[in-house]
Amino acid sequence: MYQDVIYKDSPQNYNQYQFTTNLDAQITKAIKFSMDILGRQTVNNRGAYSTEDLFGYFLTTSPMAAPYYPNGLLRIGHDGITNNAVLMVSDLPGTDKTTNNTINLKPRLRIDLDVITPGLYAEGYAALDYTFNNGKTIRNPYDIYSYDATTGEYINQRDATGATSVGSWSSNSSTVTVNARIGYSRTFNDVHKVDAFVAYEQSKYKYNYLYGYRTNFTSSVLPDLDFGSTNKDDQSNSGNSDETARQNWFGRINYGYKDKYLAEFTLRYDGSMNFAPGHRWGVFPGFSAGWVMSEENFFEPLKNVVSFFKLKGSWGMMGNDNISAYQYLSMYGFVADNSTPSRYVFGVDPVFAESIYETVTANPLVTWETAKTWNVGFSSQFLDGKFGLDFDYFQSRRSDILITRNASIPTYSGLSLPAENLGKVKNHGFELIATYRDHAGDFEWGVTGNVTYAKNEVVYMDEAVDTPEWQRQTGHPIDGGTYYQALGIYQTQEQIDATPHLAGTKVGDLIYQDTNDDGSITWDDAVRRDKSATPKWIFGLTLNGAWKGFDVNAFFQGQADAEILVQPTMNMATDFYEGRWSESNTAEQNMAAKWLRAFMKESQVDGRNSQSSTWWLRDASFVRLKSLEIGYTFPKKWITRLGIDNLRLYANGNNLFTIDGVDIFDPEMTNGIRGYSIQRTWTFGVNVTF
Amino acid sequence: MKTIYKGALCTLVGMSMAACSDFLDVDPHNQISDAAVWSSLDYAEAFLNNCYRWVEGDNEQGVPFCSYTDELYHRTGYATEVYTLGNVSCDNYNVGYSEGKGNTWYFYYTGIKNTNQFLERINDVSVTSEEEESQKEEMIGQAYFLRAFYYHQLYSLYGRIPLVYQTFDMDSEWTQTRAEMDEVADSIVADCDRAAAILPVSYTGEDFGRTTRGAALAVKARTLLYKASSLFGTPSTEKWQEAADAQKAIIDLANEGVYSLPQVSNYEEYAELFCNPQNPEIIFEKMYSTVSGGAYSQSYPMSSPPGAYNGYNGWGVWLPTYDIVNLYQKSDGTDFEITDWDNYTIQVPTVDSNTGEIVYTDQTIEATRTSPYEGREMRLYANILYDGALWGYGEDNHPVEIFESGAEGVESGEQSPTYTSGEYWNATQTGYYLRKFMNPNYNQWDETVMDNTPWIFFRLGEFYLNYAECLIELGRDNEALPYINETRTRALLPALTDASNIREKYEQERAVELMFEGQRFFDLRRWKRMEEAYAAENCPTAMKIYKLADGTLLYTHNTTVLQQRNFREAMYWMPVPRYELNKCPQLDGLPYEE
Repeated sequence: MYQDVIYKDSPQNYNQYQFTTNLDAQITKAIKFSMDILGRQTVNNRGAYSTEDLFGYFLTTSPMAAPYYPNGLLRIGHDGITNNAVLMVSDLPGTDKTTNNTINLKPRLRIDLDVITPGLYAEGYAALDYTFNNGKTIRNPYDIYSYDATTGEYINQRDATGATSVGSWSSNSSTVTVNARIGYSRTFNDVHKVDAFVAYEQSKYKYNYLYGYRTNFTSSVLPDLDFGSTNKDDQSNSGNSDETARQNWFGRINYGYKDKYLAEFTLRYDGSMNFAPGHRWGVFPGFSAGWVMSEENFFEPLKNVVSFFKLKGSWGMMGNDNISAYQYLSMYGFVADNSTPSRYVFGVDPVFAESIYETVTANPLVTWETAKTWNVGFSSQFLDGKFGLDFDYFQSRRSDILITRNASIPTYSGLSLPAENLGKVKNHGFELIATYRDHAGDFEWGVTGNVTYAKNEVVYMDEAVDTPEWQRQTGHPIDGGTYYQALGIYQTQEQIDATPHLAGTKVGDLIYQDTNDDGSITWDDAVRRDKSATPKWIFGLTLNGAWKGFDVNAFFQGQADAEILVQPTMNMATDFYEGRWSESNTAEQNMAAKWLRAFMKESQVDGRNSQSSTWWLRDASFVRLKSLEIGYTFPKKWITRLGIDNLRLYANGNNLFTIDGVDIFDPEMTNGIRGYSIQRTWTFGVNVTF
Repeated sequence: MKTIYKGALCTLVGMSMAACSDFLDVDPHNQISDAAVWSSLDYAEAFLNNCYRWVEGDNEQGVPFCSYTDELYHRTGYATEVYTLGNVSCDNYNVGYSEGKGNTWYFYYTGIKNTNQFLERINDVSVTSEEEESQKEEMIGQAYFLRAFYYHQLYSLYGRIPLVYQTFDMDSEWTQTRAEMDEVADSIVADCDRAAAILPVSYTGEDFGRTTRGAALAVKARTLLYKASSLFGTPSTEKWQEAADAQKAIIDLANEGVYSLPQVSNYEEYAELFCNPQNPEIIFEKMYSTVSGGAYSQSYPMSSPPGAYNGYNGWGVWLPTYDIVNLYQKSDGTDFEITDWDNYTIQVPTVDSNTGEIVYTDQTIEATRTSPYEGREMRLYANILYDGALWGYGEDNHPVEIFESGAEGVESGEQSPTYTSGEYWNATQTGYYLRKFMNPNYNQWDETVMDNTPWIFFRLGEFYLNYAECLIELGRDNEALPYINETRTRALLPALTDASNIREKYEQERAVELMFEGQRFFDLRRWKRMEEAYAAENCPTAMKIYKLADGTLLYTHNTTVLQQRNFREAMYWMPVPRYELNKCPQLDGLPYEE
């Protein structure tokens, strides 16, 4: 696979090569051995700047910064020698190349123990995943010019672009997972179907990293560390390692009677290294049952309309241990080179002093976060499979959620807080899937639609004692934002004088609500909202059709009841400029203004309008044609002559169009306007089976 | 048969469980345990080194304290304008891009917690030799100093603060309230006394830069000076006497030879004093490494005309104002004033709105032809870069050109704000650049070498002046004279001979000697003179210089205010941040809110 990048003249690209092999061997009648091998190499070529840097820069660069002089020479940046967008995208300042090699081996053994008792089997596998990664970062000086108006000369600023340097790193990791299970699978008397197993799994991950660097190379022709400067001050190195482990026991029993009554029981016993001995293990059971009502005798008369009907329900418990390790101990780490505040310097010849700091205050009781979920629902089919309808309702309660008490423990304590099992959140919702399939002569078609509704509510989260009640998280969705309520735009000075406002408010600024009625606007007036970037509704629609070898498949997806905050950035999008309040407008135009007066985005320059307020919220609902695929399968009689079993041509488009209210960027981009854009892609392909 | 297999299976399972029961005991790869740290003196010292990290130099991140006073106009702000424009509040407590000014409360209380932790645990470390015993004692002394220093920062900015002298755990009772100012000052002084009793008078070699006895006495002296001032409580003779004694302790150390005021013969030597970490006048400083990887001085990029980043055309951010440069006296010791104002006509370029062409229109200005930069006291040439001053590394050394075009055909100076052939928007708008703290031997083009000009927190000169203030407040004017003269004569000015109007003379000398070093913000506040400093007539204005066709330079005072400052009574103190007020109902938000 090869993928280019959306900027021109850039060394950035992505290459991937992969092979997989599955070998199965039946050693004896009862013993089967298989080996899966996967090998992959990805090569990532980039320029000297990361995507985040580039996009952040593109959007904030001065619109007057030209990349070249009229005579074609590269021009220095407007706020620094190197800040020239064309330069940053290219390979002139240097390159970064990363090669990741992965090899995964999975030997598996299955032994049928029918000799002991029929249906008994033992199975085990080991997953040996190894990665060997390395990379090289090369930087070199380049020619970039600045124009001296007094002499009319173009002066080469090469000296300011730095020296040739090479950074070379290599890392490797191994993840060894061992899984063994004993299972029992048997049907008694043709009606009682039993399937059970008990399994044990353990996993260990090890990682190593080494980095070397030299600068002041004479040239970049030989970009290896041996050829850099021999001066010790031009050399540096670093290295680190890591190790994690996990252990689990789990088992499951399935029982089915005549495929009419179904039940399943699962149990997990999970151990995590992130917790102290004595708090490491968590027990997570689960239970589910199903009743295929349509197989019952009393259902016979309905069978010609409702061809299948199953009631189901389940209850289960899951655990989460996703925190950094060792928070149950009082541990000290080394202050890194780039930490803030930085290390202190001592000595007549100043050198950085080795420093250690306490990483967190210990919480010896930290343990598993748990989620208890139950659901009920049914799945059904009508008219012999023409219609289908599935419905599911769920409720979930998470407790012992791992949070830090930053919101309530005073800052004057100076404590660096560990995770504690304190939070409680509940979540409920439903999901509905409907399908329709039909055919008319040679034409087949189908429609599938699904809709999901999910709403969460915080039952307990750490909050500051004096938080006003309209800002409390408790009773509201977990990620609802807190914003000033913006009521409108100040049109006259009398309006400003008559209402509480932030210091320095001018005509054309936003009006904020004084929620607590104390006569002044402070953050205590901000209100927490029930909507957030997480949508409450998600839906999808698939349309497919086939006719005489042609097939069409279209997939729409969308969400609703979500909002995101879109604030102007430095170099505002035109969106914020059109229809704004302006001193040169008429009074009527200003009354109808959609945006407030143009302002400096930086909060320390304009501390009033750059605040988070409801004025900047946009509806993040959207509907998107996610994919459309059209294919043609050649008739068998044409291709069997060529020795081909099956031949299909297809064209596929992804992200074809989106209808949304955000306008200036795709609503699914988490980085907002500064992210690498979601792309519309077209794929053309051929499937051949021999 | 069946039983044997079943039994074997169970044993296997049981054995594997036992073998793997410590599978989850993974040793950390980048952290060491509490027990390991507090049983080794070397690790304990590494923790002490960590405690130093909250000592922040004023020149880090480009937001010095002088940005808030009449000394400087901070051209790009970097959040200092939150204070100078009067917008600081409990919600808007970020008054500078650095850690220590952006979130001051959090910054220093984290430092205090680390020193408390060190002092509580250091006694767990057992020592085996006398040498180790004295090293441990000195480490304790350094920790007392750091605690006093961090509390001093909080005291000088907030006044009333919660006093925390132990480490908490997460379930402690949070009952601390904001202690009264005198109590805070007294506990700082207590820590200083503990530190001074243990610390040596100096450190050399690898340990140079660690806190010394003099540093502890310096924190004590400044704290007592503030305590005696009117903002920090009710002044009294006892308080001023206490303060005077504390300043004298440092002067005594100087008389014993620990510190001395180096004498200089020209302005270059004076300027060098601020770039030399070995300057015998320095009592406590923060040093920086030439290798990047830590905090470093921003003095160079924030001040320098051939700026570090865009090369030519002046990247001045810390800009001395017209008024503060006028404060420098003439070299004969008399006040400076321009007397020969006259009217001149210059030609100012404007863009014709109809044709888009540049047209020169006549404008009459009140100016002088006499250069204000001749015959001034030595410190002006050391601290300020004015039009015509020489600056630049190596071959780049050239006169700084800040003059603007005053006639058609005359080109504006390269470092002026109207040099349209270059990046004129980065140039000085006050007519001056800052020269103090800049090292003329630093090559800013070499990106691998960082500027290592230290930040001097306490130096001997200040304590001579502090002592003079205490003596004046105690009514001993004549005794104050020789102390004011210490810095005056070092600056090659004639000594003061009579003690009339001593307070004025003292304030003049203090403002000039300590200019841009950060003290003036605290002086104006403790003397309750911030309203005056922020009054419309004292807001930053510019010196504008126009060059005529025959080469004559005209110097004029452009009275357009560059920054409309705004002072509210509450701004004498920094605000307790909103997040802390919400967490601690027992803390009040005075003077910003109840």
